[in-house]
Amino acid sequence: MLDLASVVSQVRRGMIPAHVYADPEIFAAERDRLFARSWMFLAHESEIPDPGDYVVRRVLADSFIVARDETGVVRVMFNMCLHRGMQVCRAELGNASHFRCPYHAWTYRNDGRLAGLPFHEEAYGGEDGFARAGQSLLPAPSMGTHNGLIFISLDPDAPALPDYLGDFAFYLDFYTRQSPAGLELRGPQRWRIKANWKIGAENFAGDSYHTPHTHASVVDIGLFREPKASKRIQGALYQAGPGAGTTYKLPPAGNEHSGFADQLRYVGYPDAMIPAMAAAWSDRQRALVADSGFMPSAATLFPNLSFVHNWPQIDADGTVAPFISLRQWQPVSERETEVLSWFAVDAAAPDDFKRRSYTAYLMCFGSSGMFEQDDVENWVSITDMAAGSMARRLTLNSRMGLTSEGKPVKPPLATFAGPGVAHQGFGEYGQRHWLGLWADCLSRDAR
Amino acid sequence: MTAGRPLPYGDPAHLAAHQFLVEEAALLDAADFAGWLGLLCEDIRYLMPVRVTTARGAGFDSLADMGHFDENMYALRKRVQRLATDHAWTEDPPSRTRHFVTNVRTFRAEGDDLRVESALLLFRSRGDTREPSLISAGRTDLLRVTADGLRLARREITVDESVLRTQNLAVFLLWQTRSGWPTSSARSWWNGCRPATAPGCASRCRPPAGPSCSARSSSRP
Repeated sequence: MLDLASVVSQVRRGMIPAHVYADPEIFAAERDRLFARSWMFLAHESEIPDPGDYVVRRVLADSFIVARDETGVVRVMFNMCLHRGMQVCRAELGNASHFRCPYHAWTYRNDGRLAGLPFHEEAYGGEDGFARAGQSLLPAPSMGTHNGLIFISLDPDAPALPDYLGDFAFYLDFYTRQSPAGLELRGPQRWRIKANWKIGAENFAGDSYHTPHTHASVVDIGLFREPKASKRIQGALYQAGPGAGTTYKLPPAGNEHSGFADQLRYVGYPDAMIPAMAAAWSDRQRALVADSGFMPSAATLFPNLSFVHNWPQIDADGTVAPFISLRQWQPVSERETEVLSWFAVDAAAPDDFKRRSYTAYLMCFGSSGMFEQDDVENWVSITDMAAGSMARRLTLNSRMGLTSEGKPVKPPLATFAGPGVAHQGFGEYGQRHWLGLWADCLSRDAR
Repeated sequence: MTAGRPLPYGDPAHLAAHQFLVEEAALLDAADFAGWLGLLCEDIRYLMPVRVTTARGAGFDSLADMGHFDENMYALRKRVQRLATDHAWTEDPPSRTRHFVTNVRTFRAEGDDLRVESALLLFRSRGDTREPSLISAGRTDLLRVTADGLRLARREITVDESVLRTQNLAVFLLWQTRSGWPTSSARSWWNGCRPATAPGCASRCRPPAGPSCSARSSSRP
């Protein structure tokens, strides 16, 4: 019998009962208390650029059509026919003016409104018997967009998306707004891993400590631009609002005037992109990169959307190319996760940069990526080990950065340019921040 | 997708192409990876588009701009190099794999080149508690005739799942030995390769975004 209050209280101390990574009771609680109420990423507007474009995405078992209607408005609709409950749209992407249910041909416009049903007059007695007006596929209870990212919540009383994103919006811009043109998403690659969904989300929120060892092979082969573990330990780890992330400490820039451009050039951005990045970001955002030399890398927006920015060497000449990936840890069960991994690039970037960046992404992350392969190996193994009896006797220590009395081993950075709290050096600050949000969710009522 | 008729099964060119694929699979399953790299042209392109679920009339069922693989020789060498390090945890201990190659059809391509279509079933087993995984795929290969025999110039893999049920794609290489880098003799095999005459993206790829790719329902009730 699950003692949820005890689990939550241990997790808040940074001590994680190992079974939470393979426990069906925990998963049921997450479904009812966390996923039923959190803001969840579904798609990016660039995936549906034209009227009628749609993608079909899930929040756990619930399928949603994300469509751009004839007037260009993005709609998110529960993909279940009002009549008998058939899945209305069974493709995962395409373009359609209408969605017609295969069962009895009830047909919906791409904004969700019921357009017609066969024999309306003869079978239903027309509008008298069944009024079509006002009938619509169920809209997502809450919906919002930020930098083209489309989020929904199954909770109609969810806080407004900007209020939810809060201070993490500052960091989102580094990944999703490198110019006024915004982001272009490609993919996603989709694959299933026998791992609990939390492990990847926690890892991206702050685990810089794993990089030197888990990813030693990509250092060995010269793929990694930052082969020295010291670069990683000097990076800042930040926690802000519903998110947390990691940065790398770059070498000192040339001088105070060229710092911003120098740092972006160092990670492979061409001069053609740098003015737009300077214009798209605020003084504080530029200062994070230019003055502090902290280049954002991995991050997680609670609960299960992660980001990665890295800059490998992609050819024998040592060409450095940065890439961005968005990835979602979509739970299938307590022991299985569907990974959706998108390649993301500034829509206004030069074509040759987009090609290099795509190459960099494929080499490093996604279903075949040389970083990701070894990450997932760890996560599958943790899930395997967490499923037995002994795991119920083991509490995993996630307190790195705290003394035994709970005091910080070192103080936060006093001059960090970004919002939230940041520390330099290894520490499980981001994971504890994420786990704290998880504990908050599991402590509230089920929906 | 396929121009012309396949060569008769008794045609020496078909027999050579079929043997090439079977020998390649044997090298992979025997973990003779240096040998496998030696079968590739220096200008190889190794593609595996993301397969998607679309309506029958949509006109595409793969993404043209997103793959699981889009590799050149540099990237393939890096993947081999990585698996040969002592830190490629995902294949250490290694997977047990078997490549089943069937349905081989050979077509004449430009010059002496051969285009070879085949079906591949890859069985992969790891450890002692995990379920094995299967990858089913079609492959369209461009084989080039060189002084050293046939060499692979291009491979496009059409995987039969939209959501892969395998932990990762570390397996296409199947590196299981510690025998080191491709030998100089393996490298010399590439020297006979001509520049690529790679065909364009397969017709089932997603066309560029825009109204032309729409498959809109025009009927209204």
